[in-house]
Amino acid sequence: MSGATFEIGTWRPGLESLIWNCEEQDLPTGGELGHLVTAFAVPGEAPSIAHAENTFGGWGVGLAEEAAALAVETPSVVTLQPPAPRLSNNLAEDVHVIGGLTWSQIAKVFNISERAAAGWRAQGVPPHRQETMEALRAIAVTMVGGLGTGGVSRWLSAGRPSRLDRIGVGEVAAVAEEAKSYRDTPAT
Amino acid sequence: MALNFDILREIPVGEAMESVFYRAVHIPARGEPDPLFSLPASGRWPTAWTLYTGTTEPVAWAEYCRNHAHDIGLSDVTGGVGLAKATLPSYAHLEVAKALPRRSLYELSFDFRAMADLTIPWAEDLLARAGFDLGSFYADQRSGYGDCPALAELVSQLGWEAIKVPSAAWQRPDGFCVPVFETGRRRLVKMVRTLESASPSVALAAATSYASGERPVWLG
Repeated sequence: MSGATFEIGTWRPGLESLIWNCEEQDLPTGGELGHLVTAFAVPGEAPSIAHAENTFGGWGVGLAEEAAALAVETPSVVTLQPPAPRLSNNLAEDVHVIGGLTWSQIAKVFNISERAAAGWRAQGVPPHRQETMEALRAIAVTMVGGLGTGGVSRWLSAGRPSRLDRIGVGEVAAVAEEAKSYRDTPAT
Repeated sequence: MALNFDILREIPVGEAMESVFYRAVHIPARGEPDPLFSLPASGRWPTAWTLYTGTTEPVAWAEYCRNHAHDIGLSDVTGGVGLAKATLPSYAHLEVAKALPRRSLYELSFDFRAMADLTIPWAEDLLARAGFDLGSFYADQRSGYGDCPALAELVSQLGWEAIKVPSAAWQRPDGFCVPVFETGRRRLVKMVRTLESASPSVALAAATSYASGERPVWLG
């Protein structure tokens, strides 16, 4: 059997040794590489091939079953959170407290100094920064019930690029949509 | 390709005696969670109002995990070391919550008059004959969920209040998804909040099937 018989995109050099047949039962199946490649061939006929990504990474079926058994035993963990802080009518303060963001983190979004951002608490947010700050507050309000203020901060600042980084380069609407998606419970 | 409506009409619908389904619900900053909230035209079975539920609690949490794989990835409890066979039992009961919002868990009881069980062989055969690719049940969002949205467009004409379908997130024989449609809403007989605030466990996150290429690295 040659690589040419596989669908485009599913074959790569080296897989020849992984093709299992009834005479090679001790050879690996491909699952350990994160891929399941199955070929059915009848002499004289073109092989029928199925390929699927192994959604359990390198774990293999046994470990996935073990995880499932433990998950059925403990599907969730109950943790109560303190009530979320109330909005204060001070936009900068709300983003700082409810979003759990430091003045340094807020400053970085707008590429300004930490001192300037902290000054917004007393002086008010400049008009040209208000829309982004209001969006940040709206995102924080959406997420804080489930995450707490520390969790909102992590949700915004973790990852590369982080959601704060993305807001800084103008992706406010996309990040707001991600927060909004948490209000629903769609199945995939 | 359009689905054959006449064949789809042959799919049997049945009454389901009061059945309990599970749903993980958003916790707002103030006030009570709304277990019947649904964004219009979202998810695998988009209609004006589709309420996604699972037949078991693990299905409800697994769907939550699969939907938010990125934030599961940001909620690594191993500090970058990753989960392994030897460590799974130790971590299994921990919460995945650093960047994944906690949810309330609700039990919703329905008394459907017309629920189509699309998991039985008879229904699968009719679906296939109607032009529905059965692989669509597991198709990813990036592929548009296969033929599922096209079938969802027809549920109102077919008179289906709800459907029982495989769960892409919990690909095991002990759990299914039950999307409830607008006409099924009136069959709701009871709603109970069983968990006020909870997170999926590490074991549940590890047992979840994620969309292709989206499984968080730390889960192994």
